[in-house]
Amino acid sequence: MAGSVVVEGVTRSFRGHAAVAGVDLCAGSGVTGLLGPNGAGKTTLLRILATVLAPDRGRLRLLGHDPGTPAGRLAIRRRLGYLPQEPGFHRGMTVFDFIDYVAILKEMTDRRARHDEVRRVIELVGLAQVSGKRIRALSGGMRRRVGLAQALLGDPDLVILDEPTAGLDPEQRLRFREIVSRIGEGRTFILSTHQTEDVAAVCQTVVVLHEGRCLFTGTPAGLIEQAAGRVWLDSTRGPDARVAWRNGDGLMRNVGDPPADAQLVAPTLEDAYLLLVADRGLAEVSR
Amino acid sequence: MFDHRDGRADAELLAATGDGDRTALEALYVRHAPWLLVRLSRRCADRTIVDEVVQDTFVEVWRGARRWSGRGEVGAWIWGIGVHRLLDRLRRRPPALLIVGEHDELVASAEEEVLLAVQFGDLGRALDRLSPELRAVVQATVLDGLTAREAGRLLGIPAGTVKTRMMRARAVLREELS
Amino acid sequence: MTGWHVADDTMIGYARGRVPLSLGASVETHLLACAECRDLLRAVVAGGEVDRLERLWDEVVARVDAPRPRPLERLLRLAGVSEDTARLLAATPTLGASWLAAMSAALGFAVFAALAAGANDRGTLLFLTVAPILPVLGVAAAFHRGVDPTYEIALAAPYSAFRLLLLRSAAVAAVTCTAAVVAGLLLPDRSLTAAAWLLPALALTLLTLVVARRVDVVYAAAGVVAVWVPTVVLSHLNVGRFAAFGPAAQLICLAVAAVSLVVLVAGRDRYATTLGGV
Repeated sequence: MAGSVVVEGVTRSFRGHAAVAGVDLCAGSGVTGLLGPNGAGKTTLLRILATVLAPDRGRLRLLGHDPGTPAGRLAIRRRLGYLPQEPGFHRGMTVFDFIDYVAILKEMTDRRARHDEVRRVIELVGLAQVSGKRIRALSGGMRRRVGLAQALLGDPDLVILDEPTAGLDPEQRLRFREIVSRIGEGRTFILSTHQTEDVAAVCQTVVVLHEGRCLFTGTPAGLIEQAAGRVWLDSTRGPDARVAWRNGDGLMRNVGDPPADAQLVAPTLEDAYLLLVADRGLAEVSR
Repeated sequence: MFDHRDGRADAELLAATGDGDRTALEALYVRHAPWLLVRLSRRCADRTIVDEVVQDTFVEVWRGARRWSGRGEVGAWIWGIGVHRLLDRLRRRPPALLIVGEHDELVASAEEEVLLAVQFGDLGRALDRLSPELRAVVQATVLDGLTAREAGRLLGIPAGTVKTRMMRARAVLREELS
Repeated sequence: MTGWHVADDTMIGYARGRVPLSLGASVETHLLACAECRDLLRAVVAGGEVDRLERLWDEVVARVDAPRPRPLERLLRLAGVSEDTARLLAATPTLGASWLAAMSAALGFAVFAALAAGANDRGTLLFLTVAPILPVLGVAAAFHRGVDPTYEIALAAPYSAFRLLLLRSAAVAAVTCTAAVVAGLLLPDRSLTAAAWLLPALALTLLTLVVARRVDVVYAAAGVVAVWVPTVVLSHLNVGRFAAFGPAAQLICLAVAAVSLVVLVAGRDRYATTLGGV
């Protein structure tokens, strides 16, 4: 399913500030990760892809349709699953109630079939044991899974997840990645994160966003390549290091332009990401 | 579904059910629905009613799991629900009953004869010699713990008749055992 | 426990209903307490009845999973509304208990103030001014982004946002207006307070929805109210007694309502991409 998402020169501004400033993106089947710090424009871009926000400029083609027309939007939404950054729940509802409610919004009118589908997605994300529990009684990690479950209703071809692993502990994140990689096949998943491990673990394609612009598009391996020969260990911070921090062994890990005799090490995705962002002259880097 | 085993104890399963855990309800169903089905069928010959009562019971288990006192056997609690749901269903429809005793008797094995003699002794034999109508009221009131009115509803007779028959049953048993 | 357990053939006999009362009673009492023998019975029964038991379980699941309808939902279904629509309406934020309480309080206050003002125009005017504002506020609250938690998810779903808008607005307006009509009947100037404000209410509500296409619905509501209140008061003082509710005014309201409705329907596709509007 090549090219189920085609984005060309999309721009969107709010009150004069460009949240997304001319982004080109192409995504097909598999998982695409949007990596970038807060304020990079990830949420805005994802909202545009989820058809809940219209771009000011640019060309957009989702699942073969143009979201600029009502008919196109409807066609896309029928095959779309979306988990916003802050999914709100009617807190008094149980897990089953809420997902059933969203299923009605997804036009599943046949009660029996709809309930079967709700049970299916609940099973898929591993929430069968709490399907009768009220959402407000659940932990943050479980609530995220409820959000994921509703995004998977109806077996959509395009699934958009905005920071799905934010606030999850490592074990929950692992579980989440497991689910995504299991069902990622044959569908287009686009998720945003500022955790490089998420990208390294599940994404076939990674897009680095910074201040509304796309700094890199390619495979995770390709991104790592960018930092080849530019990561070294030393006892102190190097003069030409863009970013440096002390690692667990007490040594300084430097990313930037290494001195001639530097002890080079193999770069990780995180190194490459930080380098890319730092090379753009960011004063403060979030780690 | 009947090959799947859940390791949790009944009390734990019931608590989990009260918490909204559907897999716990399923485990309880696997463990208790079979005997409930048989026991209900020995009180009511109408298959459809028994089907509905089994469903009603487990739906009630789901909704009322939190109300379990935590004491006694979960099975007994489930039977309590089951027999009352049976009464509810019968109230809505004319009963087609099975009166206990109207069937071929299975000859108990020698070992069981001995054990039964220990547990029930003459009483057991005397009970079995009661007429079907008297046996039915004894089963309903003594074994199932129903009130005279409820037993009446189950058997399709007035509560007064239940009381009279119980008195007669007791008289017969006293006579047999003395 | 005496260590007594049910023998295999006894269990088979019991399952087939072929044991005498005393033995059956023993078995049944024993089964309540013995998991092992329950398993045995299960194995015995499973042979013939496994399909029946599985079918019954499917029914249990269907009934247990079906969300219990809240009272409002049941009411709607009784009124003939389809299940899906009833569920969507029942989830409307402003049809919940807290909102209803707030609205009742507001209404109660208006009635109280009107009665306290005596058989006097001021009281009636107060009520007439407040009554149409209630559905406006209700609709605004129903659609304000902060109040409907599933706003964004709902937006990305195929269900027509416009249809939802109309359904919810109608439901909120119907509820608030009914309550206000009842309240109006309690006041001295009954002929006015019970009905004269209905068309203005309709006009104001539809107007709010139209304005909400451009700005956040809360600002739209505030703006509409800010225009309405002075209009009522000033027209009462300068043009004539309750001028804002006289025949001419009623016609104006009708016109405003009609035009607003046309504008809304014509622009219904706009509601499909509205992070920022209604």
